[in-house]
Amino acid sequence: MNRSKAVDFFDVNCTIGRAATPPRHGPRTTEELLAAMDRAGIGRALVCHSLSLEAHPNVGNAAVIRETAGHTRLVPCWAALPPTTPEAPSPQDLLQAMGEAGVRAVRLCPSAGRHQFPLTSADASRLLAALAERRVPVLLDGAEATWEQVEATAKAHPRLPLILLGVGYRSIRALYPILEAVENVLVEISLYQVCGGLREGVGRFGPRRFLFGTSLPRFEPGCAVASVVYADVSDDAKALIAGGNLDALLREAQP
Amino acid sequence: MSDLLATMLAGKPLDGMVVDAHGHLGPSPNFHIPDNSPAAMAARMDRVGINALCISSHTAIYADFRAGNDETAAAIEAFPGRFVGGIVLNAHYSDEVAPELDRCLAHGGFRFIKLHSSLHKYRLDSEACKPIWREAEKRNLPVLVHSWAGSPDCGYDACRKVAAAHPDVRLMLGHSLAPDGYDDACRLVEAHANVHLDTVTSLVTYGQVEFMVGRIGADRILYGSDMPFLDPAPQLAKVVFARIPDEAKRKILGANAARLLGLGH
Repeated sequence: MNRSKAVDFFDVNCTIGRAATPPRHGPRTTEELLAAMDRAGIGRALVCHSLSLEAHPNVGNAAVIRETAGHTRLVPCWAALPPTTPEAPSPQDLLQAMGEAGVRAVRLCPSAGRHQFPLTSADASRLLAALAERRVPVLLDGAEATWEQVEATAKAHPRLPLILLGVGYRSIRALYPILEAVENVLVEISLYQVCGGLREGVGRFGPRRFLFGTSLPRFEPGCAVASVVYADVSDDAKALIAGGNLDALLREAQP
Repeated sequence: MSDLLATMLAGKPLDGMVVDAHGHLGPSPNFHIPDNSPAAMAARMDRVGINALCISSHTAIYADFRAGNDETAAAIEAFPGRFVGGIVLNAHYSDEVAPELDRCLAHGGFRFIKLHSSLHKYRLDSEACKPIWREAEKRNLPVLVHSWAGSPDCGYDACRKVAAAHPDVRLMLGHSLAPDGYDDACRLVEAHANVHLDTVTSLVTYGQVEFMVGRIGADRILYGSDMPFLDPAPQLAKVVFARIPDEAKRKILGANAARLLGLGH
């Protein structure tokens, strides 16, 4: 395949498993997902299980370990709840289980439609502090929190890598002040399609603030690949955005 | 592997004729667009391999269509051959429809009418909009409309009524009744010979182009990007990564729009 060798794509925004509303045309099985990644030239993906998001973290987190076993290209990501109720492990127990299972990233879903918990509560803060201490990246869908909550969370936990998924193309006026104010907020690019967005964002904040993501299986993964391939940034910046940044974040994480 | 796909994966500009049937120009009131000037857009078109982009300025679709059409004319003059003008009209200013069409057509760079009835807040099938459809028929001008599922102004029902009422007007459904109205958009193409669809949405739904081509064929589907709202690269990728023959991709990427708009590329 005639592709630049420097670009090694590692998808930070990918879901596997059966969902309540499956993609009409997109891949529904792990094998179909891997085939879609192959076609777009994507080497690896950090994957969360639909059951972690739509059913319960305790159900989906076990499922993602089972589903990714034997697939070295699929790196498991868990969902977590604050240690408020007996259903959620303590932060220490969560980190220990992550370490044993080889999980190095966590997704939070605080919105009313998902896991419905206050992101800024004392319990959530205990969880985030523990994750920050071990440098475990936290993935947060842009629709799951307000910009004020994102900024407050990032400021309260400056060592926490906070990756915003699905940041929209209309977001810059809200996003730039946060990227300016804190260094630990990073942007996944599957919906960040505004013309010149990567060029200006990388020029102003550096390439380490942007991460390649596809929103598979809902979106055509080639679209995010094209966003990086054709971005008006240096080849080094493309390599970081495509996968280098995520590799570094997961290397640093010590659950 | 598809030649077009290999070219894209290599990060080279696409070859052949690429006409982007749906674009805009200038800053937006709602959000910051880094590369919104004619020069920045032309450079971006060069980077990905777009020969010509159909534009209507943001000033025109949001606020003042006359001032916005002037911006479009200036861009066409500054970059000859790269931009194709869409004449934005507003049904709330029905007295100005014919004079504005005269003014823009005298310029020579405008090839179609653009209606954004959602932003201007009128129904495409309203009484107020009738002078626009009459003039489009009389002057044989294609009309690109913003179409969106569920919108009373420009949803399935309004689009169906104008397609049926004006069979001689070549109607381009911008966004193809996104985000979830692609079945309805295809139904309109099947029922009305004058209806065409475009591929633009920020939601780059997996398999969207394959679905459309499988249902209605490739001859009445147009590639569009919504540039500079959106970068053209991911929108091109929707077509280039589609599991359809390159011949169909080439029609969607440029041949269909060139035929529809009478472009000599």
